[in-house]
Amino acid sequence: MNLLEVRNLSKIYHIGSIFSRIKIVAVDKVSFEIKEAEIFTLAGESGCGKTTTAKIILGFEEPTSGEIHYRGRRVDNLNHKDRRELLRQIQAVFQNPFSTFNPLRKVDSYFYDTIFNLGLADTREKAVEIIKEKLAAVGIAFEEFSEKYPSEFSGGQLQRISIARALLSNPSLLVADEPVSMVDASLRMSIVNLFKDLKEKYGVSVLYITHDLTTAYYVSDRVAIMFRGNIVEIGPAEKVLTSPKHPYTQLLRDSVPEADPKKRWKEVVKLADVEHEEYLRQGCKFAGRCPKVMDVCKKEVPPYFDVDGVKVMCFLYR
Amino acid sequence: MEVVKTESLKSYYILDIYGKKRVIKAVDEVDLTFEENQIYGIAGESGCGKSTLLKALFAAIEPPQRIVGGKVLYYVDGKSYDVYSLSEEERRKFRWNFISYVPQGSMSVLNPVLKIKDSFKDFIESHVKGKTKKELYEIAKQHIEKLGLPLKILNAYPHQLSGGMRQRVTIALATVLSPKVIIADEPTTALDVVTQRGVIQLLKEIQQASKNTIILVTHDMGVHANISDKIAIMYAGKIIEEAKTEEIFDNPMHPYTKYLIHSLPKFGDKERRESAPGSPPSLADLPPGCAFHPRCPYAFDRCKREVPVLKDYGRAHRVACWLVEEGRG
Ligand SMILES: Nc1ncnc2c1ncn2[C@@H]1O[C@H](COP(=O)(O)OP(=O)(O)OP(=O)(O)O)[C@@H](O)[C@H]1O
Ligand SMILES: Nc1ncnc2c1ncn2[C@@H]1O[C@H](COP(=O)(O)OP(=O)(O)OP(=O)(O)O)[C@@H](O)[C@H]1O
Ligand code: SF4
Ligand SMILES: [Mg+2]
Ligand SMILES: [Mg+2]
Repeated sequence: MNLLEVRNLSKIYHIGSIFSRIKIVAVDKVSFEIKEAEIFTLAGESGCGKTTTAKIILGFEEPTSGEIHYRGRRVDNLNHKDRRELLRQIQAVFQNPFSTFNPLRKVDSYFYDTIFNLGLADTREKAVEIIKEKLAAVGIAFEEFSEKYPSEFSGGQLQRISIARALLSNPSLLVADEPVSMVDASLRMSIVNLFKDLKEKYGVSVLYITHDLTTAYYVSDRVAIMFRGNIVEIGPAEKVLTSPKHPYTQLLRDSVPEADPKKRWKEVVKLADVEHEEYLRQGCKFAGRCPKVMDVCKKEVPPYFDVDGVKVMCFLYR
Repeated sequence: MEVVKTESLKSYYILDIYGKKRVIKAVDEVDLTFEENQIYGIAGESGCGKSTLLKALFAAIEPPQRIVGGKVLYYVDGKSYDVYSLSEEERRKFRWNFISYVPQGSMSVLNPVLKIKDSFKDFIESHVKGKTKKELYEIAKQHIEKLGLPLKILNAYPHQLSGGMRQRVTIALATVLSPKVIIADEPTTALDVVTQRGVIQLLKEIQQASKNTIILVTHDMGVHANISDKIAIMYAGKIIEEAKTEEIFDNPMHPYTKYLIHSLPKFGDKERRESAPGSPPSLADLPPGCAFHPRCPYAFDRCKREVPVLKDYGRAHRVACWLVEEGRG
């Protein structure tokens, strides 16, 4: 059984004044599933709807349409109590660990609060035991952590600590929205290695949202590439990231700067000017920038085609 | 020719927490020279002092940040100025005209309630006196055109632009007065790689057209490989290595730089990669000797006692490490 299933999820925002309202389809009929003990990456353009998707999964936003199923049970319409119960199973890790913790509050107090609020332990001793276990999983010593304020940790340590906190309730799924974008290359590896270990040792699944495609390749089992609200390509990480099929994925993959000064970019890329133009496009939203655009692309929305175990939303594969 | 130089620069955060003084040595004894017509990259661990160094270079620091020692020199029209010995009034004349700054998280630099053209007008007006409104708009228009950005953005509000366009507009604003030096702090961190490429492309075009200097801080070693001419690696407030870009990638000498370069994952290679062991030290309580020694697999006795000095080992490759100094590496 799939751990999480997202079916035909859409989210529409209306922006602008009362006179000129623009409809933004931030998430447009998105479907994917996450299996047990799987790292699933959601990558794509800035503003393509990744965070919105994550927020809906976590119940922080309501979908306009579509369904979410967790272990076979529909969970996008839960009441308050059931939602709280679900959030033990699905935990979030955010981009900036410094904004996760109040600078004037000791970091360990969050851990005790979470443990007692969720009823995970009834005595301080038992709570300490749980904390020690979770800190060990992220490679932080309890003595190093006790009685300290957020400013006494480095960004990487604090990010590990926020992951340890997310692990307190023994979740099956971590939703990590750009957990490494603020940290240097070396710490990045320590955090993605941690995801790998959590998956391998404890069977935890991770929804990894990132712009960093090399770490996505390194840790994930499957990858979905989003563009303007749609998943345009989805499949095994190995295939999607080493032989991308959709022209947008190809452009994305080509734009990853290689850490090799001998392989500098030569050609120039074209970017969209104004945020909303591509949302309003009929047909394929990438048609305006696609080097392989055909007539049909400008008129009809491409369906998914199965190519070599990968689903691609592009007429080239008709 | 040099345009900006630091001499033994020390910039600390001096905090008073419930009567207890806490000193964070974010920039400590930094000696760097930035040349004309150069993209100079700076990389290093999160929190090691990169942004602090940039703020000190721009000479617009606010408490609790202080300049505790050393100098920042600007070279303008054949003359050098010791910036922190000048009055605030004199310093202000250099800002944006000689040196400009795109701060970290600068998506918010543009005023959200003004159209882009009015942000430009206000900005130029506050630095260039005696122009009519029409002339000011014209300067903005010409600059946007020169950078190859679409003119219609001038009539847009910031929220109507995509993140990547907003960032390019911020860069356009920071360069409208043709500064000799442009400081950019993580200008592409929140962006996808295609958009990042567009922003980097713009920076490079500006640099090539006016042969000025860009000082670029980013965590992304791929970006450095792509556009930086020279790179400095910072660790715990100090420059620990500096060399030409090819040299840093082909022949990293400092153990921290080696970890940094070798931990980078690559497509087509899933083999486990390890990052540097342990955690970075607190800048308020640095270990004695080399600040990297508690994490360094090669550390020996001297590393624990003496602070290594940054020394040139040929090919303009400077390293601060006893292992290299003693030829044990
Ligand atoms: N509350 C909101 N009201 C109106 N529009 C919104 C709202 N939240 C998001 N949007 C819009 O929805 C689109 C998707 O946003 P989202 O934050 O999900 O993108 P993202 O993929 O996470 O981007 P990034 O990579 O920059 O984090 C964007 O165009 C955004 O401006
Ligand atoms: N206003 C401040 N008050 C006190 N300490 C500060 C302040 N700003 C920064 N620091 C501290 O100074 C050190 C250096 O910070 P700085 O922002 O220069 O790091 P950085 O290298 O730019 O990091 P990053 O890669 O995360 O942007 C950090 O330990 C930080 O906590
Ligand atoms: S000086 Fe010593 S401790 Fe520091 S990096 Fe070199 S070998 Fe390692
Ligand atoms: Mg987001
Ligand atoms: Mg910084």
